[in-house]
Amino acid sequence: MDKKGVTKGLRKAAWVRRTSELPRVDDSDVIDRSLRDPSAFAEVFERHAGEIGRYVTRRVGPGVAEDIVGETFLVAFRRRTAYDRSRRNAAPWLYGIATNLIRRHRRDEMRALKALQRTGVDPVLADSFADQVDGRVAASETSRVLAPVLAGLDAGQRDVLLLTAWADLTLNEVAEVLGIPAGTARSRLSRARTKIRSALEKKEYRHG
Amino acid sequence: MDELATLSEMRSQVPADARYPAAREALLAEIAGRPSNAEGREASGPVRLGGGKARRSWPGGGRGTRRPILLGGLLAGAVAAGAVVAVTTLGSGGSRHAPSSPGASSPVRLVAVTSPMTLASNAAALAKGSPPPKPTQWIHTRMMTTTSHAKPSGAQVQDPGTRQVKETWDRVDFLRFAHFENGRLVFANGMPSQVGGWPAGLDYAYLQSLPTDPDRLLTTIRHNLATTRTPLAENQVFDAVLALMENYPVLPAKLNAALYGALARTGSVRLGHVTDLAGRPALSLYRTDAGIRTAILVSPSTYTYAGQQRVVVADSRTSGADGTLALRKGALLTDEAVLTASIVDDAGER
Repeated sequence: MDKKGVTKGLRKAAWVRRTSELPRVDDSDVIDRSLRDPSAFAEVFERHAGEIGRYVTRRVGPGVAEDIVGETFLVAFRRRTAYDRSRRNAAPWLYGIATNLIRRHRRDEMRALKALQRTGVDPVLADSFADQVDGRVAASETSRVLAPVLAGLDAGQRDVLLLTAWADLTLNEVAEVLGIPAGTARSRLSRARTKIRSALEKKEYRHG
Repeated sequence: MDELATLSEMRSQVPADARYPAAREALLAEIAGRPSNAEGREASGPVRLGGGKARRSWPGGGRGTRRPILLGGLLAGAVAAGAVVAVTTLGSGGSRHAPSSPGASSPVRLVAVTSPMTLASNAAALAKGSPPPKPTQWIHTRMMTTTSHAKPSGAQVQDPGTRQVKETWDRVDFLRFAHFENGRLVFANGMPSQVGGWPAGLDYAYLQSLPTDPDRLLTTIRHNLATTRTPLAENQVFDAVLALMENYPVLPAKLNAALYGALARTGSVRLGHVTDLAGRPALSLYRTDAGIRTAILVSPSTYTYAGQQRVVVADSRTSGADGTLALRKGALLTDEAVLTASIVDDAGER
């Protein structure tokens, strides 16, 4: 049932194995090394492409995800001199870059959300599992209710909300990577949550 | 009900272990400084992956790192608008290939300039050793440029036919800059020189220490560049030499000649004959990269740096992280003619 829990558990297990076998090297150390030896930056890709790609795919679908993932790491590579090396984990930084790139695909994002609302089939999932015939393609009724709410948010609210819910960033991280004050991030999240809650409550009410 | 937890279930089936091979290839190509296959994927997706073109700095954005203060509005007041100004550094000779030999001491053998290599050999034949300037002396520069305007696409495009002259004094250690404003000399604080492709803290002592043998100099330049990107992209040596010349318009003569020699050895540099913005004949060492032809102009009599020109030779559209840039064939991106470049003892001295 809880697919996300399973995924997370797996990721954690892999992480534990990694740390027990290898001396822990922070992303900041890897990026630092890449200033002298650019090829070291490939390690940043190996570590984070999967999770960044997952987030990007969830927002705009697998069709453009590969391009956005590619662009994200190119931008990151070119800006690595500006990386704040006190941040040991580079994931929030990468999510921030990806989020900015996703804005250029707002129409793809909207089209999928509206199709999901209209048809109950989520194009993002349908495209992700195009070669599989199992039931994963069917979107839940809850997703169908959430889709128009997400589509109705303004871009700033949607970024804050999904970086929180789908990328697991803290509010402070979200504010930092989007370059907005923490208070702004907080109020955007709170407004977005209110809209989602009220849509979900209406659904409960309807289905009684 | 926690609506965030509910939302986090949405599309959670999307796996986190996808590989993104094309994205990986694009990154590795960028790291290696080679054009990526992804360059040709334009039609398949709206975002163009990087590669050679995307790496090019935006025209007008400056090449390498230029002392920002030189580009800033600080100097606007120093503009003395005017018609073509008398040429002081070039003598009056009209001969393109055979400058009169300066100084009578030893006869200098010059050859007809037919290639970058012959240009470099004439420059080397004319070059004399000179003591380095003192850190407290000043580099006096008068430079003619076109005026420019920004296009909606982000390109800074020069206005053909316009001219302005900027006159500046930069202290040799670059800690002070000066220019005239309403007849008064105005000073500004500078910063130690930073030139793209060269070590931080560049100064004349370092320049003086560089090899004046073109092959060894080229090796040194490549070595400097290789610390930031390996292997080297072909345009990097050219860009580094131009960045040095535009920031140090008065270079030790032997080094200057060796820099031409190093460029001649890169293979992709061609020789041209042009008329510069001030109407003077000039030799040009140029190369074309990503649809832009960049020329280092060389005085045919002194073989010193005489300016630069950058022209778009093929229409192009580039998508970068910060937008799309469209360039039209024929657009003039830079046109600069160095009218005077000399070392003087005091700011304001000509």
